[in-house]
Amino acid sequence: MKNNNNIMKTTYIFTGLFVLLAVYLVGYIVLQSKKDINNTYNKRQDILAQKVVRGTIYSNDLKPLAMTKLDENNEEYRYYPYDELFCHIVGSFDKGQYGLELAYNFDLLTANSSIVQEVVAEVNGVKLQGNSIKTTLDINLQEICLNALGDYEGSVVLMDAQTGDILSMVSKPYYNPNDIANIWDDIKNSDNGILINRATQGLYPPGSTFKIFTLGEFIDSHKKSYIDYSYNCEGTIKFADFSMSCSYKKPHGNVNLVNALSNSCNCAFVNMGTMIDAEVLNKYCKDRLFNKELPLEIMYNKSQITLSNSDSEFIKCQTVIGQGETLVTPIHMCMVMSSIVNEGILMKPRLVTEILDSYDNVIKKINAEKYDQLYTVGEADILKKYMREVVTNGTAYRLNDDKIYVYGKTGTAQISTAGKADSWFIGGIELDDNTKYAIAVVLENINENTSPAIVVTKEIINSLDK
Amino acid sequence: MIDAIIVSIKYAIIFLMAIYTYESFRAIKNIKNEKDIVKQKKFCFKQSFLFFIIHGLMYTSIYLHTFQDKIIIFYGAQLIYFLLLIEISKLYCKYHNRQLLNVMSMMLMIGFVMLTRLSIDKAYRQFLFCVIATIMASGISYIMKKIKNLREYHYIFAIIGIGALCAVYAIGRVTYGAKLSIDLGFVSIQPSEFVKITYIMFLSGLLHKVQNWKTILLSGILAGIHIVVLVLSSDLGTALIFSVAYIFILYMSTGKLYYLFGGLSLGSAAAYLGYKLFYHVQVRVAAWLNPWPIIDDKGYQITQSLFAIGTGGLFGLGLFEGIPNSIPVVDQDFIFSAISEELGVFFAICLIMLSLNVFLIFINTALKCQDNYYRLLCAGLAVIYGFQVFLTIGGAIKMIPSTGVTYPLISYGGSSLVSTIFMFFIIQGVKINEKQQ
Repeated sequence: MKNNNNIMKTTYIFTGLFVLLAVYLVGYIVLQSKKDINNTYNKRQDILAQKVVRGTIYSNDLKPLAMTKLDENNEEYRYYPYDELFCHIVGSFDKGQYGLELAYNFDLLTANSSIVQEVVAEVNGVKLQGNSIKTTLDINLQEICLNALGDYEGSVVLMDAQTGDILSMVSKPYYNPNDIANIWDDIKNSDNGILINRATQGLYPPGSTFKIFTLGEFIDSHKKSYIDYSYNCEGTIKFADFSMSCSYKKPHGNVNLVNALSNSCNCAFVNMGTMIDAEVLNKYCKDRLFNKELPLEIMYNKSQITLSNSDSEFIKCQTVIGQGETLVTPIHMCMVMSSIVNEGILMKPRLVTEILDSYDNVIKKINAEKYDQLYTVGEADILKKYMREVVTNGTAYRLNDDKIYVYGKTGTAQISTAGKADSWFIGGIELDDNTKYAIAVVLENINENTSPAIVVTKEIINSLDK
Repeated sequence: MIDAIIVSIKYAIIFLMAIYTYESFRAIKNIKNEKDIVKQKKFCFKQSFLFFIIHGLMYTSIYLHTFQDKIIIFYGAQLIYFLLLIEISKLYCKYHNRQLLNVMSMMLMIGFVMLTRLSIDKAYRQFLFCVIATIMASGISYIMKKIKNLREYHYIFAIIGIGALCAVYAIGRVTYGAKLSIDLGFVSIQPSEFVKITYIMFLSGLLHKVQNWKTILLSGILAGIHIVVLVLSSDLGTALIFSVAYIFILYMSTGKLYYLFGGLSLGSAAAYLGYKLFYHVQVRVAAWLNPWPIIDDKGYQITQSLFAIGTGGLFGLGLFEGIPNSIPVVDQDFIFSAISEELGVFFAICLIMLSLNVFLIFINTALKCQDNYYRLLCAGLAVIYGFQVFLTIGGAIKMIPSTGVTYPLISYGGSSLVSTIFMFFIIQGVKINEKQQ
């Protein structure tokens, strides 16, 4: 019987393997599976929807932005009390999913119930109530931002720089998600990208707003001498086979770094560009989230920059003033701005603060957290000071206000359509009560030589003051 | 009303399955006296009773979803098969292992139910193969009794095994990148499934006597040829099972731990080499490490499997309520995920435990053998069965990389079903011939 001992040992090993399988499976179901099944590739959402009533999406003061209602035939439908106001960020649900409806699909379709409750509900043929989410979205601010956009197409993003909370996110053109079934054919056939959330997915040339990166890198690589920088702007700067101009070819005369930025002097920045290594600038931008994934739960595109030493002089000159191949999203610009406002610290953009069960008990809290340090405190301070000059003494002088401390950078980006441009403002807004906002505004297809983004920002700032 | 019945049936099945599993473990016990035999009989009766209730409930649920008469007829055919299986065994083989017969019926039944749900034509085929295999296998214990010197023919088994595998390598048909089957016109067979049995018979025949280094070297060379031919046919899952089986049989017959550890380290080195050499091993390892970024192609199958298991949850979505057909090759490599999705993780864990139960019955039979040849044969088959179940479940739940092996008795596939039924009947044959109580 000597072999039996070896057989027993083999048996222990295999029994261990089977127990391991069972333990792993239970562990997977309890700890990991809820996260995994929350995926657009999982085609079982309809199955869950048969068992669970989709939860509510709330604003930051717990007003419903999206909810499930019953019609006269006791059929469920999704209702959006604010019509088009939140159509991109909250999203819609019936014809493909978008926005938070998509990002939190499984949370909304998951009931926070015990096993017993689940069994009882299933046996009785009753649906369980799905969890709800409390967002950071502020109805009042969202209305202000949407109204300020007026007839323009484009986007506004407003963030609380100290927490990363996205208070408002507007994208136009918009649609009414309550009507989506009726207007779906029009939407499908239109080519204006009405379903695209321009705030996160829209890629725009940054125009002169890019100068904060050129300026930042210039300061970074000339730490001792940048204070002494000066340049005599004649309205045009000539190279061997091309030349670059300031707007209206208006000479700015003798400029230092401060008024080069406040007057958005192209010639001075092109001149600075010749003193910067292209690849170092490229890396500087990469460190500030160009070409990088963003910590966002909703769909977005990555901002793009490609600059290398092998690029032509022309491309380099174009890039340092925000033309050329560079493309950015409004959310990215707002995030960069928020880190400058917040002493260099970028807070992780937050859209949802709490997950609530059907009795509005908090079952999960999502805390504000630091995501990255984009600037040192010193660098953020200098950029803030320079951008303040843009408001007090430069291209954004119309935003100068005694009561509200505003700073930022304007931009007008030429696009392929002749005579048309995109108008930008990115900046920081600080109120007396120590609230600090970061804002990014972009308007599409405006007439060249106007800067309506400032007008829109002005309207938002005025409303914030109330 | 119907919904309420279906839901009640769903929970009843889980509940009864849990009791069944519990009873199956209580039934494994060493029998010392007459009282134990009576107890054992009671357990086995309870098992059968639960089995027929679960079988009935499963098909009631399927009928309530489909309302097709062919379901009732199919159920009736299965009922007759299972009843005959039990009654004929009782009548003609006094010493057969009733528990093993019961658990085998349970596994077969779960397979029939899942295949009925996934594709009824495949379920018919599977049932037909099952009946034919059972009739063929009923002769096994008789043959084992008549041909006493089966153990002397180990060379013949080795030659048959290697020959069959070489034939696959030469004229085999390629499925999912591996040469697996030979097309005979009316039916295609997968010889490696049957070679599993000849392989164990050859190894236990060669190693059951006192070994010297010559026999061990010889066994290594012959086993190695099996494995190399399998690797050349890209049937890496089976090659892995053969390697592990060889290491454990060598260990069990010699009792030398260094064979176990040496073999496992050598095997790990070979696995690493396989990873470097074979593109589809790299694909599966990549899909195991992190399938989410490659969900569109390489990670598709395993993520669909996880969706199925995760969405099904502890109690499952219910038969016909999930979408198991969204998992590629669900009826073979990923049948466990389909079971878990629709019948629930509780049920799936009962199934894991029942597979362990089968393994332990094989081992128990081995332990009671007077004859060292039979002892090695049973233990070897136990290792083959246990390791294959481990690979298929582990792959489906992403505990290990997917190896593309099937769940014995449950997955769709004639060759696999027939050879596994043979395996179970060989164990029965050993028990009957040794007249074990």
